[in-house]
Amino acid sequence: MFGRSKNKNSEKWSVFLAKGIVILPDAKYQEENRRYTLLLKGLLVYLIVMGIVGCFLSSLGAEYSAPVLNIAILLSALFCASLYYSKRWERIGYIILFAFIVWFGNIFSTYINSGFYALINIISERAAVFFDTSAMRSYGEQVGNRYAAVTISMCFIGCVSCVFSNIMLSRNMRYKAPWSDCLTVMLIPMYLELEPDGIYVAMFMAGLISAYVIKYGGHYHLTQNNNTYEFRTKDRTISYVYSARAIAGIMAVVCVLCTVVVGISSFFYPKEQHNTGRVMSSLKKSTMDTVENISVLGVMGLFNFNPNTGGIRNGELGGVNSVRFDFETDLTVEFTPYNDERVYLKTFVGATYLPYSNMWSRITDSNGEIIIEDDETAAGLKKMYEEGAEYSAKGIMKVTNVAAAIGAYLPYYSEDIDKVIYPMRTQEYTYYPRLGEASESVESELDDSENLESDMELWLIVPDENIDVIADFVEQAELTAGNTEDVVNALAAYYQDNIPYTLRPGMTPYRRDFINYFLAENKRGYCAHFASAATLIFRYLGIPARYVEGYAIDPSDIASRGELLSDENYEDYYDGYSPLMTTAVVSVDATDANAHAWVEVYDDKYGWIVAEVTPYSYEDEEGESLWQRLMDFLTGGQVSELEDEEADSEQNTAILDEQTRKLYARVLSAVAVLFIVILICRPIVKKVKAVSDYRNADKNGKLIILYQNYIRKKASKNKELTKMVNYEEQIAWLIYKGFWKADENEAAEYVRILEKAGFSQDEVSEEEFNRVVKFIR
Amino acid sequence: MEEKIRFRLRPLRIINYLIMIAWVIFLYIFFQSYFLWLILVVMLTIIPVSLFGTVYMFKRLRLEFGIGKDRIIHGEEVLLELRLNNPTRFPAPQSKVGLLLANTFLENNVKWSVDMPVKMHNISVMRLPLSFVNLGRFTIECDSLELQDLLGFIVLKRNIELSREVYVLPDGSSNMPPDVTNFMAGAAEVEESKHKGYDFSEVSDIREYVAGDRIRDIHWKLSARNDNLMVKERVATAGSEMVILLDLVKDDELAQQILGLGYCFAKSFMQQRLPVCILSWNQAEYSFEEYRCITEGELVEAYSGIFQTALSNHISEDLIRYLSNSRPYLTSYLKVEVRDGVVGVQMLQNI
Repeated sequence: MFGRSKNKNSEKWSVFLAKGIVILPDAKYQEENRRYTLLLKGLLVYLIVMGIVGCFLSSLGAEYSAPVLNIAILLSALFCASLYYSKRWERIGYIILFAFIVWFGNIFSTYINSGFYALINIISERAAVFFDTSAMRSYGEQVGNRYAAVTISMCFIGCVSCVFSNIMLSRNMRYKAPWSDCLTVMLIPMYLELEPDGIYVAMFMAGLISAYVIKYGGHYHLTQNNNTYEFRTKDRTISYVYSARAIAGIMAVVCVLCTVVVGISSFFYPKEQHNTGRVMSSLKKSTMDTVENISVLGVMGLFNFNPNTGGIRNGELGGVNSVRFDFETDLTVEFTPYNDERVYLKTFVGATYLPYSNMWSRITDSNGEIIIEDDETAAGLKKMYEEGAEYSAKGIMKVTNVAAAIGAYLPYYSEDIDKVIYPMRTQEYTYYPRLGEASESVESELDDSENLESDMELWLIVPDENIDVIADFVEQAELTAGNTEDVVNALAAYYQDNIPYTLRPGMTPYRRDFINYFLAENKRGYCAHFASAATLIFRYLGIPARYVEGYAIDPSDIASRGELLSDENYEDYYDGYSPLMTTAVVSVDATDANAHAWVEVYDDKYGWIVAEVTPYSYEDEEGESLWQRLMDFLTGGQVSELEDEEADSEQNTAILDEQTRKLYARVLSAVAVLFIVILICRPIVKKVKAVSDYRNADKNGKLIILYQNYIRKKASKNKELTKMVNYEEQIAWLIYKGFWKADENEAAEYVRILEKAGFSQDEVSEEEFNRVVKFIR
Repeated sequence: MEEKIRFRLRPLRIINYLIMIAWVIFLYIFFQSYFLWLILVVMLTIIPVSLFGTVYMFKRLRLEFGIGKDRIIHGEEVLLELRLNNPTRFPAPQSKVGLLLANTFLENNVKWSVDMPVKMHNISVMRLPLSFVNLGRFTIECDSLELQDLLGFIVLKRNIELSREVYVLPDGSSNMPPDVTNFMAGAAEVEESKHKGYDFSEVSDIREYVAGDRIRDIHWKLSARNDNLMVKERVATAGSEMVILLDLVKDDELAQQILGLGYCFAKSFMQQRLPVCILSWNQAEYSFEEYRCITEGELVEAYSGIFQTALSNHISEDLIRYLSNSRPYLTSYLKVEVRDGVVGVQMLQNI
């Protein structure tokens, strides 16, 4: 009753509104203004594409010809939109468009290439300013005229973008795609705190919101037969297909609204005012080093090829953009604290600095074998102890290698230079601390032979490549040769006042010297920077100096992480003078945060002594991991607070097991990879299975497979078809919509053939098969 | 009278939009970007603009509709026109008009929904060419108007009462009965046989004989004086009219034919200057409805009256007896009925 009846005089279908009332077939064939609608859709694409491109370029401050770019993108958008005017024009138009893109790309390939690299270079320049580094890459631009190159390049990119945006918007109003594209494109400028011009923001938002409104209005699909009305008898709805005037009205109102809002916002709260009060979020801060790494090294910057222990690696300098601690225990040290000073464990002594290789090398003999020198100071202090001098002492330190490199970890001053600790092994070091007035007696034990001067020559070498920079620095810092202690203090003070300590100093640029770059340009670093430069500075000023690496345990580490070993006897670990009187045996875990580099300078009276020049750090996040910072961000700092409380009450400092976190991260990564693999492989497997099923099927099966695939494709674009439950209804719909041309008898024949193929034991004939397949293909 | 505006929320759309806003807020917290701040301001500003603008416009939105004629011939095409007038400069993506179509004669009503565009400061017109393929009284009523705001958050609705009636009448130009005069003659003979020997008809005029005139009307005396035969033109007595009884059935197609045939007969009789009285059974009133027609206009009115009641079923023998008893003066009548599945007529005496 409410279905369709066929007019005997034509093949058009009527629609019954009620019993006795029918809408004449001619109603469906009233034509809407397709051209006007396509024009509006073209404008929509233009607003969005030009909005994104304009935002990007204006935020970078790139110079380009705005009128040319606007016209090019507008024409591209209108042309792409016009492709949906008719099927024939769509085919021809795409061929023309493809040919034009290829031709344009070919003719202007140099400009396009150059323009693209110009933008990369502009981004690098902005990034260099943002990260305060000069280590950014730059690319060669073949065309000197950046203005023209950027304009032509962006015209090309804009044209291609119009093609894809048109497919998204004109057919299905997929506003989420351009929304995601814009945020992706603007990620870099937003990160570098570069802001676009308001006009382009208004354009983009006008286009995006118009697309949103039109999408949820539901009247934007272009029909093949250009009908004004659509009759859905199943849910009894007469619907207009699209209205150009309505779309125009919506776009006009949205454009005006966006322009007004952006204009008023920019007037009352301009971007300069916003930038003045801008505060970087802590989450963004935690990503700075990674992003800077990527900016300098590209994607490979994500992978750290120079694993280090707190930035220290047996004399190799730099190699990382920043130091990130994992807070895993490297060494476990058992000893008795005897004073309130830092405890140093020496493992590496650098004798010779290799410029541009950026590393310190140990002393080697003529065969290249490492020479381990005896510590004269240790020998002297030992002698004093054995003679029972007043301020002498002897200590035992047990060091367990948990996760550190293989080597000896000598406390000051020890003769056990050959006691190398292997992983999960413990060594016992005997040391003789230098305490107060006792040091004066050491002088007699120092080498006063004629060979001393020649021995010291090694520790005075300053490479030629560094001489000039060192000299300039010394002059700038007003350092003069003199008393060792005075010189050390002067340099330490200068460092403290002028060169900030940071765990994120940035990488040393390719083919640049580590120390020169630090002293002359970068002027920020961590202990390795300060110690390496100080060693050469001391040498330049005539003070024998050597670069030392190891671990440094502060009294605060003992207090916060130390564990009292009540079962151990104090007397077994320490004998002699102790400024702190009798203490106790403690066990302290030294992590990579305790890894340190310092300088040893040679004093005629005291021998090799520690010269600590690294300035105090003011970085709050110095000790925090990314995980901890993220947790703090999400919980408002409660995790850190809780950790502090736990650390006070318990001896276990870490709430979250780092290894467990790593395990979770690996599991999540594996799941993500698996998901992506499934996502990619699933359609391939389905396709292979479909082809296999088709090949193995008989003629009936093949016909049904082809027909069902055809119906599925049609239904994906026409939801109404999914409501047709049998062959008869589906074929009636296909004929009604104009996809198939057949009269009543032919339609019945098709139904019969399909039912025979689907339900009958008899196989369809070749003619019957071809008859149906003719329409499917 | 229009009722107040009601609204319905669309939570999925709201949630979708809020997710987008939340995403922008998160990015803003991360980047602290002025660009994102502008986007956020625009996205938040458009919400009240969309809601209040739509309410403002909906209050001023006017719907009009019309149909070309209220009485049409069966099969005639008419244009149903809906006009949605938006006097404001605020658009809307979609409006829905509730359309209720009813055929009171066939006791059928169906509700349709019509989507119309809402143009800014303009009138949206939807013209639907309709054809009425059944006889009857059709009512077309617009009972509600819905409007969705720009963002699709709410749907506003108000009831409206606009209705039009269309009477679809038979096409009297077709199916001309072959021999109306026989029926007329038969009726007259029946009538006159009751009054045998007395001629109570009045003579209104004398004219020349025309083939088909009754023999008894020849004025013999005048004809003897002239060379041509002359006949008396009589005026029917006050009680002289053709009664047509429509014996309708519940089958739509057959009922259409009965009505059509009855209409044609009535029209033909009237063309012969014989008044017609149409009888139709009204099941609801349990009585025979009488419609006296002299002119075609009255015939149209008669059928309009018939269509206002629901289609009744076949008149049983009991009802025929009831007719006979309730109308003793009725001597004969023409019954349009279905016999052996075919629609036909027969002259019956009221016994």
